[in-house]
Amino acid sequence: MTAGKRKLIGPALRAAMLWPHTWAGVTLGGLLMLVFFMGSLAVFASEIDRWMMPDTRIGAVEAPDAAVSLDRTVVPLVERLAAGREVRDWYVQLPDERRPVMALRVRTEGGNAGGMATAGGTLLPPVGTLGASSFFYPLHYSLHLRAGFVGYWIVSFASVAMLAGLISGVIIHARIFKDFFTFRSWGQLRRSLLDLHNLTGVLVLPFHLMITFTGIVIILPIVLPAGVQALYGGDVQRFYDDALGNYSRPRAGIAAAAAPLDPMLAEARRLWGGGEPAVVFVYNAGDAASVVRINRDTGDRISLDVQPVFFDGVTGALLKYQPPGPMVAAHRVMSGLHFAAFEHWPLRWLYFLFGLAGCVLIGTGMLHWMEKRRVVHGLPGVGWRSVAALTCGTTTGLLIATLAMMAANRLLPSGVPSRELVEVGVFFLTWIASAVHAAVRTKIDPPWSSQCTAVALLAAACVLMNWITTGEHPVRAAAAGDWAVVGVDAVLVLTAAGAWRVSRRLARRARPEASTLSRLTDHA
Amino acid sequence: MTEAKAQRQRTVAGNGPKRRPSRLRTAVRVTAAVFGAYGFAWGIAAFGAELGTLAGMAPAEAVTAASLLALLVLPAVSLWAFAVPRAGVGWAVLGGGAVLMIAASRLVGITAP
Amino acid sequence: MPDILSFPAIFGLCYLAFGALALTVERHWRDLVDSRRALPRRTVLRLRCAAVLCMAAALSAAVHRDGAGFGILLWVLALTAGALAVSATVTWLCRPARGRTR
Repeated sequence: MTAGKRKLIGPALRAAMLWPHTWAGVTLGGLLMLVFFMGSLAVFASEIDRWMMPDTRIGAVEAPDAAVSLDRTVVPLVERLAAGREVRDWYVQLPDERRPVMALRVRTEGGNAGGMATAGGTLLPPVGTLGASSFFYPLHYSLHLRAGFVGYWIVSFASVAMLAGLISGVIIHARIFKDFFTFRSWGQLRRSLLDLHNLTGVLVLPFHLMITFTGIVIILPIVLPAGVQALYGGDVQRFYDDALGNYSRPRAGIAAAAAPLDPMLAEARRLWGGGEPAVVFVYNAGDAASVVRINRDTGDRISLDVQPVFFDGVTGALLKYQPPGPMVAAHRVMSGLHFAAFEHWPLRWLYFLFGLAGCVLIGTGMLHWMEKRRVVHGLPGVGWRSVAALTCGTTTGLLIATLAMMAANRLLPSGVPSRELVEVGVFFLTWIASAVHAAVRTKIDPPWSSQCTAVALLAAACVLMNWITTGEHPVRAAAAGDWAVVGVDAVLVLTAAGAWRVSRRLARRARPEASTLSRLTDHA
Repeated sequence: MTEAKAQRQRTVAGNGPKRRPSRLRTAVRVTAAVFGAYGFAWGIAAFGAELGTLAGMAPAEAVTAASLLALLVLPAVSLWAFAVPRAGVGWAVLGGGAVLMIAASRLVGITAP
Repeated sequence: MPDILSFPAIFGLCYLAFGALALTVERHWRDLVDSRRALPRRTVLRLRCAAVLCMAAALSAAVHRDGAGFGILLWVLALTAGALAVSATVTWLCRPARGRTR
């Protein structure tokens, strides 16, 4: 393989690949950092949700013991949420291992309503936060730019650049096998950065290729609608209906009584041949054209095929249950590989760690560019300082913003109007502030040390404030079996300790003043 | 491979990486890598979907298969636009290929029942 | 094998496999084992065989634990984790020695 590779990849090709690799990294690195970091958090979205929504934690609600009855428990809840308005559609996410409560969403004549309820049917007070599943996670794939799928396009573009960057990186890297395990943390900073960049790039390559590719695959019909244009006249909805076995019909406008839902659950279970329902949708509720959709829980398999079963909401008759063809099934498996919606803790942790390794890969790439430029060009110019500020703003700045949002989540009283939007505001304002701080303070180096101190203090504050406001410190949470809170607290403590150590070391280290700079230049 | 060989010849001829490429040439390469490659992938996805249905696949299956193939090809051709010795050739192949495949897919779409 | 132990076992096998492979790299052999004598060819072969055996054992344990789909995914990711751990070990072991000679 090595010999073949040597013939295939000459020095000229390597030189040609360096330019796109470098500039794709420098221009899109910040965005990719955001995508990878938020994606890593999204792996534990449910756990972070529990941390940010104390009313829904294991200790706060009774664990769901038996299957929830839709007719006795959920339907009355929907009526309460609708508060007398006519219900159009609604859905419920049934409780599962990671979320001991159900989440409901109701669309009525006069606006939407949503809420969480215990498995016993008690409606919980509003959670007052978007949490990880509605803020960090959508930020990961759509940047919260929903109009016209702009966010999808931007993230997909960056992801293709990431794929190209991974491939070109492998081509550029001349000594993959000789340097397979090499990380020289001593000596020149530039060499250490490049070692770490190569190490994470090569060793985590299978995961990075897989996660980037499958990430685009999920939204492929939206960002590459060529086939949909050719065969479905550009109607993505019709394509999805056909591919995923979905079913929809318009409202008839004639009122009709709804059939009981629980027998439909039983029928769906029978059709699946085992497996649990995860989400139940009721479209056109109370209408003669009412449709009930039941999704299967995919926790026991990789594939994201939710095997939707559609029933007539009035007669209770089966409308559609269509298993996907082999290519669509493969598409679902790839989507599932990315989503990691499965119940598998070792895999979940590995996804989290390797996602963060992606951040290390991108971050060290940008830092290496900065160091190299500094050596080549001497005193930094405007371009260098912008990249330095961007790097700082998307690494420590992003951490600060995330932690500030979590701190705000624990600090804001529950009565604050539009509490969830205030939290989001805190996130973006802190992020902008840290980026501005980075831009203003970057003279010879970005303000790494002070920003790391901020990360450490904020992370520690999050743990403390969680303890003070909910009374649940990690030891008590562990005793209660609330592993979500234990895990989030543990990661916060580790972040605090790590960031504190880094900030102390950076503060001790002599700043690379002119003398160091000239020494570095001599080395080069 | 032949590209690598051509590259090496170009380097030997004194047109090596030391010489900074002009802004225009860089712009041609970047646009070829972004728009040319996307058009090429679009062509594969559209033409592949039509071919798939001709071969008897269900439409949803054909669309999915062709799109996945196109996504596999996309980053590779995008990098190829930088590797090809002459920037113009990159645009010609990617743009030309895209136009050809899209036209072919239209043709198949019209003639097929 | 109890379920709780099988993941550390898979990870450990991957770690051993890459540890053996790391020794076949000339630089690490010199740093970690013998700085005067070059790496004998027979040792390389043996180490590679051991690495392949460890990886195969890890794969079979992973598939046995979780079935084919999850097992292969777990195996691939555990391989990466093992390689990262080996690299950290190599860095940690070489660091003081290098520091003195520098």
